[in-house]
Amino acid sequence: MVYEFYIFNNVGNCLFYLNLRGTTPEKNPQDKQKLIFGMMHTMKSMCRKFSPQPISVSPFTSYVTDAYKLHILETSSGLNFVMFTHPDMMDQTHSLKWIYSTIYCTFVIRNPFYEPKKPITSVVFKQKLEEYLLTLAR
Amino acid sequence: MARQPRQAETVWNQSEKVNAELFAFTYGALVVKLIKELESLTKVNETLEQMGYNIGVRLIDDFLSKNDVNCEELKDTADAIAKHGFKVYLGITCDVVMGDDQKEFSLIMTDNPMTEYVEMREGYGELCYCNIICGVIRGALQMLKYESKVSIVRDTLKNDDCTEIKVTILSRKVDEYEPDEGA
Repeated sequence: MVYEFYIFNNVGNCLFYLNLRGTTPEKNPQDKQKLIFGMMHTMKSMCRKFSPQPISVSPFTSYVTDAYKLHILETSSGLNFVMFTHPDMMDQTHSLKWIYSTIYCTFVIRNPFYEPKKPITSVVFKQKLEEYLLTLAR
Repeated sequence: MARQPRQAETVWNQSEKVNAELFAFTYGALVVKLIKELESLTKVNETLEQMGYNIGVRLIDDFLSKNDVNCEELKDTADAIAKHGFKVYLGITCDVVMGDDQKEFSLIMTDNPMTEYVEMREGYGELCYCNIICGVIRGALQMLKYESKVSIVRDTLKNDDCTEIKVTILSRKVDEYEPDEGA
């Protein structure tokens, strides 16, 4: 059960936000987005610093609390795909990779009218992503 | 490293193909139209490079999502471009020649599907027909935070024995995320 989905770029701009919870939308989603990005950035750099061997690819993929599980995929091009799900959900790295390679690449990257680093406004992308996320039961 | 050429071959086989003649005709028509519309061949080269740059900044995500490459040093990056990048998008592979100072490398192409039917005219010596490829490489490296300079130093269309694309890494810039102090 996926609650929310975000796409950030490497400087912290939120390029895309999708809420699947069905609750009323927040008045100021930007504050929450900044918080999420800041926390993610800190976690990634902490993981990197504590690692016994030097690593270039971020090892931080998820964390779980009582209320939710946060999954993240960071690409070499600086994109961060963040997903909030039910705490019992299994590791979703494979589905984030699928979203990146199939849904994001097909409906965002290949659209010549999409400008990189700007928010994603494609209706088809949102629709296909929503369809896919609803199929992620466990 | 041995599994990587096979991986590139698999991705190439799985991707949708387009007719090579259509591709060559479309690109050729584009270059000729640019030559007719712009005043100088230098401007044509710049426009082709800029178009390639716009392609490169998008192509890098498509490439990274389908190819699992992990580059620890410049030689790995050069191999990834030559063996994976060119294979997956143009169906050819290139040879890599590393520069002396580890900040540059050259990609040597012996055959190029874009220039198969092209014969360069007299007076067009300044034109870099494949400059779009230079732009693509520069755009892709830009998204990986490398500032680079990419140019064609030898060209089969100008009676050289191969097409050589030289890539020089100028700098690595890391966008620093600045957290808001007051939030």
